[in-house]
Amino acid sequence: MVAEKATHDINLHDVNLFLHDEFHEAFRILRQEAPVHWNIGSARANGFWSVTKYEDILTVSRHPEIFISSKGIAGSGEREPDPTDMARAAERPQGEGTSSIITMDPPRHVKMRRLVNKGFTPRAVNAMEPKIREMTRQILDEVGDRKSGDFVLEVSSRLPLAVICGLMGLPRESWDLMFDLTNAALGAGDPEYQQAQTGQAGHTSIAKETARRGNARMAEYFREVMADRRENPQEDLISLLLEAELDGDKLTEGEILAFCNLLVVAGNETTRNAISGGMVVLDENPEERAKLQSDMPKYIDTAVEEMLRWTSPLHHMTREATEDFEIRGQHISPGEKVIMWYPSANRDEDVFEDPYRFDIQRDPNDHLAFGIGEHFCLGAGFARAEVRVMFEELFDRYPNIKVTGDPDRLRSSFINGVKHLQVDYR
Amino acid sequence: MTCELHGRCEESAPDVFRLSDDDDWAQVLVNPVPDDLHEQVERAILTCPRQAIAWKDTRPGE
Repeated sequence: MVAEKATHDINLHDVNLFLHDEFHEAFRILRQEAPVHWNIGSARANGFWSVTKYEDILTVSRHPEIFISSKGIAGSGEREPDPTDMARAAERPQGEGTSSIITMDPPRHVKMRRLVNKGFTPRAVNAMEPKIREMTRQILDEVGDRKSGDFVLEVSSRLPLAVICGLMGLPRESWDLMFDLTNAALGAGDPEYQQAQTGQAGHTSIAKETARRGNARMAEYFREVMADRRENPQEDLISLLLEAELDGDKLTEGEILAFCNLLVVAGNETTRNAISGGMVVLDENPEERAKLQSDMPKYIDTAVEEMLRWTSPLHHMTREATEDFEIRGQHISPGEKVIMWYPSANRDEDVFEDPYRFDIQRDPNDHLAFGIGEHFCLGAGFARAEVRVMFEELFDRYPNIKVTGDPDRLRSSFINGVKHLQVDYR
Repeated sequence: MTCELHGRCEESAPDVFRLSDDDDWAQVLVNPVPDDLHEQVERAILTCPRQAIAWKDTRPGE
C-alpha cells in the first residue's frame, strides 16, 4: 500500500525533491488536486503560486506585462533580503548587476531582444551547422580510443560551451575558464561547485559567495574582451553589442556584461543537460535507442524533441504578478510570485498521451522545455541543432556507448542538471 | 508578442505563412484564410513560440 502525499505535504522549497525524480510525483498530484497551488514560504524564502498545468503556464506566459520578469525569474525571493547583499551591491564595480533580457519586461525587452535575435534565427543556426559538426567531431576526437570516462566532462559539457564561445568570438583557451565560472554562477546550491569556488561547502551564505565570485570573475574576463573588440571589431556577438543602439543610445558596459553573462550561462548549462539527460533516457529505453540508431535520419528530429520534453532542463521560471488575476478560481494578488513548472507541463496528461512513456516518435510534441511567448528561449534553434548533431556524431563513432553508473545530479530546483555520468564508450 | 522567424507557422500552414530571408517577420500569403486551412492556422497560432499570431476579424459564421 502506498501512502499518497497530500498536497499540503508537498513543499517545493525542498531542493532535495529534485535530487532524484520525486518532483514528478509531486507535480502529478498537484496537477490533479491543486493545479494553481499556494506553496507556503520557508524560513528563508517567500511563498509562491505553483502553476503545474500546461494550459495555465501558457496563460501566464501570454501576459508578460501582468506576470513580469524584472523582479526575478528563479526561486521565490528571500523573505528578508540579506543586508550584506545591499552593501555588496553598493561596492560592486559600475554596471555589474544590471539586468539582462531574461529579467526585463516589455517594452524595453522587445527592443533589447531585437538587437540580438538576428544572430539566432533558423538561418543563422543553419549557417553555423558545419561548424557545430566540426566542433563535435573535435570533441569526440579528444575522447578518442578511451574505454570509459565521464560523459559530462568529456562530451556533453563541451559542445554547448564551444558553440556559445564561438558565437561570441571567444578563443579556445577561454573555454575551460568559462566552464568553471558558469558552474559557480548557476550550480551555487551544490556542494561540489561551492567547494571549488570558496574552499568550503554547506550553506546559503556560501552559495551566495560562490555565485558572487563566479559572476565577478566572469565580468572581469568580459571587460578584457570588450576592450579588445573596441579596438578590433570582429563579426561576433560582442562586437555587435558594442555597435548596437537602443533608443539612440549605445548599450552601457553593464548591459553588455549582463548579456554576455546571460549567454554564457544560458547557452551552456541547459543544452549540456539536455544532452546528458538524453543519453541517460536513451540508455534507460533500449528499444527506443535501438530504433533511433537503426535509422538516425528518420528518427532524430522527433527524438530530439522527446529528449527535450523528457529532460526539461529548466525546472521552472518565476514571474511576479502586477495585477489581480484569476486562474482556475485561484486569486493571484499583485506582488505574489508565480512559478511555472515546465517538467510538469511536459507530463500533463491533458496534453500528452501516455506522458510517462519516452517515445522518440512522439508527434506532435508541443513541449514547453523552451518556454513560450515573449521570453521563448532565444537559443532554441542552436540547442536543437547541438543535441541533434551530437547524437548523430556520437552514435556514429561510439554506437555501443553505455551508461555505467547512476547520474550524479545537481542539487537545484531550477536546473535539471547532471554533474557526472560514467560511461563506457566502447 | 513579435515574430522572430522561428518558422513553426510555415511548418503548420505552408500555404498561409512564408518566411523569407529578406523580411523581419513571416508573411501571410492568403488573407482571409479559406475554411479548409483554418485548422492549420489554429495550430500555427498555438505553436508559435512567440505567440505572435492571432485572428484579426471574426471568422465567417461567428
